[in-house]
Amino acid sequence: MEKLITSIVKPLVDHPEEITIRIEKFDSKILYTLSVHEDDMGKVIGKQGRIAKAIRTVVYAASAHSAKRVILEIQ
Amino acid sequence: MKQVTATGQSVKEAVDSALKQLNATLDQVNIVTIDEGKKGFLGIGSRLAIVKVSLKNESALERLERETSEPKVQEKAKEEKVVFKPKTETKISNVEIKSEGIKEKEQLVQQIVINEESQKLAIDKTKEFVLDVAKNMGVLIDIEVSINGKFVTLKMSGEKIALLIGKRGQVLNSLQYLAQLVANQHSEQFMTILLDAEDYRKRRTETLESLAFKMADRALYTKKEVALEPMPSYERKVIHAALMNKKKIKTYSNGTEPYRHIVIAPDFSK
Repeated sequence: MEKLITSIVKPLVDHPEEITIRIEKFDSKILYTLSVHEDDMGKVIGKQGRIAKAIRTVVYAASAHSAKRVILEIQ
Repeated sequence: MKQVTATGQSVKEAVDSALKQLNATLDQVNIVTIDEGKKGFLGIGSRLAIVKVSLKNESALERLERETSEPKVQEKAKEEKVVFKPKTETKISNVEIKSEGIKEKEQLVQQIVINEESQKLAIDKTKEFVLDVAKNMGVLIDIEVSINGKFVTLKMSGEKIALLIGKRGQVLNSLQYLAQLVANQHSEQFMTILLDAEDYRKRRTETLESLAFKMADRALYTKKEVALEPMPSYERKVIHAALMNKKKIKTYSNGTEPYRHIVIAPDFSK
C-alpha cells in the first residue's frame, strides 16, 4: 500500500526525496500518514482538497479487498 | 550597394520615383516588386505599390544574399512599409526587420520542436504513471495512447479493470485527474488527459442519455423539476446536450463543485 501511495505522490511533487509515510496499525484500521516537503503541500492537497480527494479515492479503491479499513492522512 | 525602396499609386509610379532618387534609368537597375498595391474602392482598401530598386553594379554575392533572405521577410516587411516613412529610415529599419524576421522564424520552429518533445515526454510520463499506479493496485493493464491536438486519450484494457473504474467511474475520474496533473507538470503546453477503460466512457454516455430522456419524461408528467445526483462537468454536459433539442424541457446546473448537479425542469413556454 505504501508503494501505491508513493507511486501516486512522487510524480506530483518537486521534492520526491522528502516523501515519508508513517504507518500505524489499529485493530480494525490502518492509518497511513503522508508528509511531504513544505513547498509541496499544495501539490498533494490541491484547490478545495481536490487532489487529496482523488488520491484517497484511488487508495481506498485499492484497499477494498483488504480486511482492514485504510485511512490516509496528509500532514 | 545602392538601393532604394519607393512607394506610389501604381508599380510604374513607384519605379519612376525610385529612379528619380537614384538618378538612373530603367536599364541600369534591378527592380523587385514587393507589393503591387490595390486601387480599392473610393479610397477604401487601397494600398500603395512598393518596389525595391537597386543599381545593377552590385556584386553577385550581395545580390545572392539579398535574394535568399528576402522571401522570408517579405510578409513582415510588407506590413512595415505600408506605413509611410522617410526614405532613409525605411532603409535602416528594413535591415533590422530582415534579421528579426529570420530570428523569429527560427525561434518559432525551435519552440514547436520543444513543445512536441515536451508533449511526448509528458505523455510517456503519464502512461508510466498510470501503469505504475495500476500495478501497485494489483491490476495489470495495457495502455493505448491516441493524440488529438491537446486532447490525449489513454485507453486501458486488462483483466481486473473494474477496480480502476470504481462506483460510477469515481476511481477512473480521480485517476484521470491525477494523470492530467502529472502530464501538465512535464508539458509546456496545457494538455487534457482522457482516461478510458474498456469503453467505459462510451457506455456511460449511453446510460446518461437514456437517464436524461427518462427523467425528462418524468418532469413533463409530474410538471415538477427533477434534480439528478451530482456529476462531474463532462457528464453534465452529456445530459445538457442530450436534452438540448427536447421540447418543453430546459436543463440547468445547480450547486458548486463537486456537488454540482443537473436540474431538469418542464418549460411550457418552449
